[in-house]
Amino acid sequence: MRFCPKCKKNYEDDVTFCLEDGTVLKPLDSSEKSGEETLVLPSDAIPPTQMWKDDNKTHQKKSKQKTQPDKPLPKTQIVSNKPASNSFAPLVIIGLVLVVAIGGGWWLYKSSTNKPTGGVKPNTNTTANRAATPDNSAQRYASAPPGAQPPNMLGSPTSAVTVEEFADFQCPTCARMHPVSKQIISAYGSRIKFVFRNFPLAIPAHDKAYDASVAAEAAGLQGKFWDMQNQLFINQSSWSTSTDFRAVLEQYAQKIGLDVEKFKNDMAGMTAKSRVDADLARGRAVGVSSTPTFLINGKPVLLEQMDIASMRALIDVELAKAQSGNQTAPASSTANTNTGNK
Amino acid sequence: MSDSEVINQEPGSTAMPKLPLLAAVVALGGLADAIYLTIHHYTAEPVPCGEAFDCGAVLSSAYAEFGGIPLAVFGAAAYFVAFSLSVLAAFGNRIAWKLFGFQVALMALFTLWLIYLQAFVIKAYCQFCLISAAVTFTLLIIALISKFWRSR
Repeated sequence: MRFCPKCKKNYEDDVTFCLEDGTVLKPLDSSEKSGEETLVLPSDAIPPTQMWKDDNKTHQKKSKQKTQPDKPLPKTQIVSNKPASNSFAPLVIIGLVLVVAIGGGWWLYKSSTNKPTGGVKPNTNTTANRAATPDNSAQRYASAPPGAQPPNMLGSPTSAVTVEEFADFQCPTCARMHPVSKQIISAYGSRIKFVFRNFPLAIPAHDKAYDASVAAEAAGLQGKFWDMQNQLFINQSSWSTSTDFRAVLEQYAQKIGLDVEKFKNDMAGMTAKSRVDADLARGRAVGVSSTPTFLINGKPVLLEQMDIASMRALIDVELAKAQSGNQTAPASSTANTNTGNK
Repeated sequence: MSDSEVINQEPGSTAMPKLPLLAAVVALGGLADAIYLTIHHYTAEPVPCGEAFDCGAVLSSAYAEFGGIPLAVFGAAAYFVAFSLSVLAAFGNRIAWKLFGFQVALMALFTLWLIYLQAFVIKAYCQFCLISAAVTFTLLIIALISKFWRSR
């Protein structure tokens, strides 16, 4: 005989659950002393058959189905209101996926970075901030229009090694490369000719890029191109999201000691704009389609080479070539124009 | 009734035992997408982008990173957690399934913010970001179906 610990009703041995409330029945003869195997649910406990249903209707329906099992249910089923996943299977699956994700990601990363770097990459419709893509760069470089004259240049105008940067002030990658450019300028000084070219991309996301270039050129008309260039790059996230962009530019102008009224006039005038347009024309002619693009003696620097170590190595190769051919120009250490704060 | 049968009924209901498994598979898709974008970010490889999209503008915008870490890394971590919770739920962990629902709700809110940025701030779309958004909303729908089904 069995009895229900809740309603105290007695049942035959072949009944497992109370037909009234679904409570697990206890053997009558084991009484209270043998509670080690059977489950005594609190009075407000949900019957086992109702574990995942709050609905009374569902409970009754399921209770009916489960009140006449042939043999008692295993203990694991009775206590199944605890998470039943006591195996390691899910952890193994999760671990495997983690290993595959990290391993596969690493493998893809390495295979991407180990691609041959001898050629230029095709343009894949990434108009902003991506790979330099000048094709037939030597020919294009030789026949391209000169860009803004005099250029925004640091170092020696007669150096045999020219590093030319085409950048967009609203391009985050350009801002990230700004410290690299400064390191190169600082490291090589008059041994190289470093030229900065405006290349504002005409895309909606870079809606302030052209005006930013004009601002830098307007500052250049007062001899402060590099100061404004520096301000624009280091504060890119501020002004590029500012709703009052012009006011922010005027603040920078004031900060670097410009005559703000003249700066505003130059911003509105054609001189600064025509310099930007000239740089743009040169960039397009040499095949620049994205920013930043660096050319070292007309040869494009690949994206994976855009770090200080790789760029120094490339510049050193060009310097060595120049020296071996006795082409190194005497260091003049005078910059052509706009030699402000680098 | 076998142990596995008991387990499979727990997270959702007897009628919808496969939802955590489905969620795990979908989350894997999101994980793959996020890993791809992470690799792209660190290798600076151009992303193959459709004519209607401008992946470069989106992926190199000021919003593509948070604290110097690309958003794709956070996305990959989020999808991995969603996958793990789904797998645990598929093996009977009811708490994991609740956490999954909570997580995908947060992910969906963040995804709405990212879509807003693409539409109104950057004014360009990236197809891989939209794929990620679709994955997140699919996970949210799965979680909602599960909850709806259980509460019926």
